[in-house]
Amino acid sequence: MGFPYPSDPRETVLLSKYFGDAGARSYTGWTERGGYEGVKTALGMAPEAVVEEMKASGLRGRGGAGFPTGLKWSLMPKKADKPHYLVCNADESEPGTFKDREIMRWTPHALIEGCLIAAHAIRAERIYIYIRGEYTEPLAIMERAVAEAYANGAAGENVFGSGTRIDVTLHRGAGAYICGEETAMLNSLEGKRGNPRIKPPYPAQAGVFGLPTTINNVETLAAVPHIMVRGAAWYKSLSLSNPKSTGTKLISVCGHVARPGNYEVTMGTPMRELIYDMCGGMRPGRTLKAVIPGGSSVPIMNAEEADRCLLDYEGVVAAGSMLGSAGMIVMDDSTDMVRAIWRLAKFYAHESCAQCTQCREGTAWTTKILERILAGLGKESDLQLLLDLSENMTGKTICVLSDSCAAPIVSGIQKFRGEFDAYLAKARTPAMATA
Amino acid sequence: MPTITLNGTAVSFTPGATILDAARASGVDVPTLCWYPKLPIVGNCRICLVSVAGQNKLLPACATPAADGMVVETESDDAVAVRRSVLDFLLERYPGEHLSNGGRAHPRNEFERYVARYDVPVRPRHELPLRTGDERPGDVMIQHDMSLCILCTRCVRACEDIQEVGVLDVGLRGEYAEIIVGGDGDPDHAGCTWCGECVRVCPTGAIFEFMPNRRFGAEAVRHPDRIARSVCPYCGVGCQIDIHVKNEEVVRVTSPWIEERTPNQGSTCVKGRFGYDFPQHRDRLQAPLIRKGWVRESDRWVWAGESPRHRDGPWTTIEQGAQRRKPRPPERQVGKPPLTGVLPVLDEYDVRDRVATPDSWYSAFREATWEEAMSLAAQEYGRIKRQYGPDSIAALSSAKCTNEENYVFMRMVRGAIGTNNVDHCTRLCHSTSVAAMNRALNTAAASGSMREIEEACDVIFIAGANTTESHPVFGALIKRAVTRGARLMVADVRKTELAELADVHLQMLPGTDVALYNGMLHHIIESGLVNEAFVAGRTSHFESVREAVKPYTVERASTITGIPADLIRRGAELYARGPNTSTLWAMGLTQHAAGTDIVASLLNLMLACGMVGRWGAAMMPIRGQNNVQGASDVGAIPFAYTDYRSVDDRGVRKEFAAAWELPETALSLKPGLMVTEIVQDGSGVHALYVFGENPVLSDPNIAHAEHWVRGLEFLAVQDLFMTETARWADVVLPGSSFAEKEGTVVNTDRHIQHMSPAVAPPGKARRDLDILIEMSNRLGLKTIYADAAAVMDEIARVTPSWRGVSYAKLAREGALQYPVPTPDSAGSAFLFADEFPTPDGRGMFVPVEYLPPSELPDDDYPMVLNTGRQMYHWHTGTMTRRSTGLDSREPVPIVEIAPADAERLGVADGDSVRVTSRRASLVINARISDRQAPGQIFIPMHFREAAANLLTNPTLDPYAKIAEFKVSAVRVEAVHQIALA
Repeated sequence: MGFPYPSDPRETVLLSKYFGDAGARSYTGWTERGGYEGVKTALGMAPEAVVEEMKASGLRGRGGAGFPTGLKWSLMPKKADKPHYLVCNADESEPGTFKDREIMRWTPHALIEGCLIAAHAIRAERIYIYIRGEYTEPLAIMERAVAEAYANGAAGENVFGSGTRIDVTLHRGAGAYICGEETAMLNSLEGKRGNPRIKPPYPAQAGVFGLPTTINNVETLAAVPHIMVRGAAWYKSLSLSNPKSTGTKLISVCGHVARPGNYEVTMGTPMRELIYDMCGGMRPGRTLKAVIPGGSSVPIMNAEEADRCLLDYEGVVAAGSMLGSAGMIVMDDSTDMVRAIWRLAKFYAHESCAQCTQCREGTAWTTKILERILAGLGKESDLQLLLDLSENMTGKTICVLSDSCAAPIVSGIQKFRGEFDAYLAKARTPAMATA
Repeated sequence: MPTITLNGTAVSFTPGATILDAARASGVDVPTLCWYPKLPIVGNCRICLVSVAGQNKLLPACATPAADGMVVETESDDAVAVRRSVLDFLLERYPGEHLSNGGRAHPRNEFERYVARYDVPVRPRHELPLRTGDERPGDVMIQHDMSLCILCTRCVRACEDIQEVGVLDVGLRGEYAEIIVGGDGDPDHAGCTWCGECVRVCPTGAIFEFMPNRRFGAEAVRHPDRIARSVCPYCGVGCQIDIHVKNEEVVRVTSPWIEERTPNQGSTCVKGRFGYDFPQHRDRLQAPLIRKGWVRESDRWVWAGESPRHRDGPWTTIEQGAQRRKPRPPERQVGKPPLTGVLPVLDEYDVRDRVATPDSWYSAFREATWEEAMSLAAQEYGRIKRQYGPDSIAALSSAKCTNEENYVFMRMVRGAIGTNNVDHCTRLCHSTSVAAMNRALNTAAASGSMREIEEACDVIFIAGANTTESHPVFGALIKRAVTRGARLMVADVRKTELAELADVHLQMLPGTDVALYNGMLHHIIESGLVNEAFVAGRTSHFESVREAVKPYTVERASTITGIPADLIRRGAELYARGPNTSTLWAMGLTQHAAGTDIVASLLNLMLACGMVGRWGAAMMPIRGQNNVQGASDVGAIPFAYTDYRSVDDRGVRKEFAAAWELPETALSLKPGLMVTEIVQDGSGVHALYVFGENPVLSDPNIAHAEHWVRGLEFLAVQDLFMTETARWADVVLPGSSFAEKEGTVVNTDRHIQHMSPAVAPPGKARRDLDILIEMSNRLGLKTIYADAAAVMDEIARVTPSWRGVSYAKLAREGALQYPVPTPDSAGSAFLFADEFPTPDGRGMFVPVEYLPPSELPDDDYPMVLNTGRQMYHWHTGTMTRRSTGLDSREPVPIVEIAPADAERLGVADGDSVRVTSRRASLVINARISDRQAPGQIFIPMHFREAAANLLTNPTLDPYAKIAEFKVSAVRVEAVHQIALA
């Protein structure tokens, strides 16, 4: 549902069913709404069987990469001769993305239940939920929920009398975007500087504290109980276009639409349906110019691409971008694209952890060039320089922050070249509000 | 073996190797910036990306495991393009304008070499500002020029993972990321030890040694004329060092490449890297000196001064000097810029120009020729020998000098003078260990290697050793072992750095060690943790010890030592369970009047648990000086020739008489006097020859020692400086420093290592070996050695366990871990795998009883004084107080006082206090430190102006004649409460 707007009948409300329903936040409220049945089912099954169920459901990671969840769980060692860990990535910092926030605000027990099922499946005794530092309200709600879960035997030494021990620890981030990168998050959890780690070793081999670890996104884990209760086949059937993309997806829509908010749609829903029907279309008198469909880290789509885009992993790629975290930033014809791209680059320059050369220097350098262009001081060679730098920033670093900075720059220059040229020709001389 | 195809060539690799490892092993040079051997791989510079067939991305060679059949191109177009882009990105913020023209032919560092190699154009643009970072302003050892930093983070990892200190880190992020020194820019707050590991690994010179650059200029530092491999002149770790020489001056010391197999594995501590400038100090003696009053009359020297002889001089004695109030150290300028106040003029820090020896000390002397000085010494030693007999002459050799010099020295004393009165400072150091180990195992050296502590040891038990300060390179190794997972147990009266890190810290009352180890053994026996197989198969007399420790219940041990009983139990179990426990100890055990017993009780514990003779279970007395092991090994001790063979053994005497071409009767069968016995009234010693020692500061109860020295009939001192001892001499012979001589030294784990000479001695100073050879000849002992190698050949002939040692072999192998009984022996990393070198091959238990220290606190002297070393200084300070960097760290004497005691005394940090023992008193600045237990104070021994040994107790250990340096009863008063002299 597009909370705070009422749910649209064209949505498929699964995770967002109780958004806005404060009664769902408490343990009893949640059990009254059918909660904690999935984990009881899972605890009665062998871990391998849970993993198989997940594989069959087709659930893929909702954090951005879309890696099949069941496959990820199956990569964990089968033997539990040393501790295994589940880390829930609740460090939702991607610009334009705010779906995990609402899950934690309204349905904290859904997340805890998903975590418990995942922990059972990967034989973890300890769950870390790493929550973005700025999410103070979700953190408070989660803290209360975890305490309730312990009090009701849903977490701790003996989860629902199954004999399985699973502990839940909340960890509050300290405000670094990069800690949403899974290996940086592991370093941060260990008390180290949040630098992404070089892979291999992968977290399933050596994750937090050097021990086997699985990292899942909040939305992914929140979907898990539904699969346990209603079955993989049912979940797999939620797919309108490509069978590789199943289930529902929360889309955080922001920008120049009439009703921004979180919308839960079945995989494969056309983007135009989301923008023009559910969100009420563009602001009055304005037309669509560009969409960044997957948080800020993916290529920008122009109106034509957005118009033919289907909202699932494959559909967005076919339309020239990526689904990412599905934080949709919608921009109308009043948008200065050069300025928008500069602002994105500045964000990445600010958030670069600074270990890889290309990222540390490249994000700052491209920002400076864009700044110069905006100030009306750009040179003809600057666009080529930006493209060259972006090329050198793509696919060469430990994590993809550098690629994320390059993506909007490259796609922006390709698709909105005219606006850059206009700046370069000093056809327009806007004053920069901020430098 | 699996193979990869590297640039078209098949290259095999060991499983687990990375692409980079395989490339390096096959001689393919893949550029790297962030990668450095032995540092954790972070793969952040991205310059080593290579093309791998079948991969859509380039992969970092440093972090990608090689896989069988992999096809790798290191210089593919894609890889080169990335490399150029990385260098281009880095150049954007690097002051590299000089590289745009001719400078490209002369790259100044690793990074610039890559810029030249990949021909990256340098464009004068700098859209981004030059990089910044914490700068260490005013530091005379390490400074930063962070505009050169490329953020490879090698320094961060070297600090964190090699030295285990963690001073440096990356601060901020994005374009503002920079190297920071601790949280506030103050290296002291961050725990910096100035080891210079960061300097060594920096690929651009952003972190650099300040002094060499300041004194000699960057060009001289960058392009030395030659580099001589030598051994650090300080502690017993025996770090190999490279001495850089430009224009016949030592400009800098660096450590060997990290992958070379040296005891230090390429590290040094602050003393090794920055303590090399004392030989250039202006105090350095450059000509022989003769005391005014000696005149030559027709080929005979006559004393024309006052008679009877009692030396005097226009200077204050140590005792008088101790009464003066000490200055406060200069303010340090630290922290992040902008700093408040004015930075000190750095030239003021150059102690080479600051007088450490007062001019008055020279005033009693006149400059002389070598002929004059040598003839006077030879005449007087000859006269005194004739007049009072050979045993009226004693000689002190030096643990800071080479094996060759020590051998020639003891040969001179034994062969030419005919006495066994030769000793050196091992007496004040590990003599009790030697006595106890000799008695139990008939050995006098460590059984294992430092390397095994790092690699194989499960539990490390350190007793009475402040390793991170006294042997910092070894200390860092221990910390790495702990990080690897070894358990650490420390028995120490002070809360040392390692004690803080330890799983178990047994903080006993001073001098109660025997009760502790007996109590631990009692518990081990009670709990059935004795290694019965080892005890039965490898040892004897266990029953006597079983009986002896019976009264030492854990509760009783707890009462005596003040350690909670449970902690003693935990410690005992940890030690016994091992499975491989290494036992390390140093001065905290040995410098007691019951030192031999203390070591013996520790050895009982070790033998009962069978913790010796395996890789990982080492017995290791940590030796203090760089050649204290060797000086004893080659016989500069009063009771033994080389290899600890007794002087009272006629067979041994015969052998040496033959080797030295002397009649047997020329060599005395009577064991000689030890250092601490020589200076006693009634020792019968009328003349002394001191070679590179400073007994006036290092002996217990200095006031007495100084008084005794002043009454000698004749004293010759061979040293670098006018020491506190030399100022009382009749003849002062200027010798050579570590950088000016060739020879070998033995480190704490029995590595015999070679020192190459780097420069010539200054002025008329001569190499010590040459002086000793001439002196031997003048004393009537025919002595002909072509060079140090010839001396070593003779040592090898007369020393069974060194028989295979030669300079040629040392040059081949780098270092030899003795025993090396044959020329083709590779040395021995650990000993006693099968048996001990005792007559029956068994280790002997020796029961010992606890005796309280000879001086306990009472109403008049309510506190206990402990003495020892600081990280930045060395023994009597002769060297380190004349070293710019080291002296800048600890310029004034201090006494460490526990916070509770300071509060009780009304003393703030830096205040003057008077410390008084039954022997003397001194005035000194207080340093409040929670390393001290309440009721105990600690004074480092390095400072002439407040010499700790004025206060120490000269009570001797009955076997080894070591003094009770570690326990003296004292009284402490705040100075404002008393009148100052």
